[in-house]
Amino acid sequence: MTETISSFYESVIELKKKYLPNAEIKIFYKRSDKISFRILIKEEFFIDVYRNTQTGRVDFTLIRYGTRIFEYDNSNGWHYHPVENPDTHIRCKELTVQEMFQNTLQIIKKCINLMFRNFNLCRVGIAHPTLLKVAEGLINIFYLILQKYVIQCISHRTCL
Amino acid sequence: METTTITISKEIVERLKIIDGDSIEAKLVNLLKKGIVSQLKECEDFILNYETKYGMSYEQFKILWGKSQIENKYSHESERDCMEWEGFQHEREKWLKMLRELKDLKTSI
Repeated sequence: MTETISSFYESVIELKKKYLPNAEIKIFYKRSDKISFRILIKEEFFIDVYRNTQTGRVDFTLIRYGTRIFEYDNSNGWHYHPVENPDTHIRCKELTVQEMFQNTLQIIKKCINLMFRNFNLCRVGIAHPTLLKVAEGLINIFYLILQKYVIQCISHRTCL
Repeated sequence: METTTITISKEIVERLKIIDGDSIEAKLVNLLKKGIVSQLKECEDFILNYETKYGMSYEQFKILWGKSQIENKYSHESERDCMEWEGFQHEREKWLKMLRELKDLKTSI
């Protein structure tokens, strides 16, 4: 990787435009020898990118709800943090920006598919008649407690 | 000293009057110095953020990092901070080196 900060940034932006056209870019800082920015896929789901041409450092991390899902970086040699256990390091060969982006994209696709599956499961769960009855029962209990509290407040005139 | 010829428009030369220096070269050196100092200040601000966050200097942080005594060492936040902090430390050194070189250059003008 012998590119400048601008050429690195432009190549990531080109890939973003092609594969994640709706994602937004947030630059934390851009200096002559380093850049730190975020590719915001959706709220709480983003890729944090760092490149330093002086130290040679590269970091490409997929984060969801504040938790690292997947990461490529080259501190102490090229490695990645696998989806199955993101806190571990697995050694790998040096990657190009395109390779890092493409591989991270595969993980993003898996995550989005999983989110849709969970969403559908959730919808099925809510529509289940037994769950609906339980929810109805809970609402009734809450209503009774609230009613009792309001009556108490009125009788003691302590309600704000 | 080796020299090279550059062309500067009259408008720029006119505006260079506000910069300290007896010659165009001295003015350019002063401008360069101001630019470096400005970059250095920005760099120091970034470093201060990390020093405040961890309550220590980068040297202390590196020692504790080596001993695995940094809390959540393998979290993304810690690893990223370590990487970025290192980057600003290197940048700081780069600007200080350039200032030293410029100082030597200035004395030889």
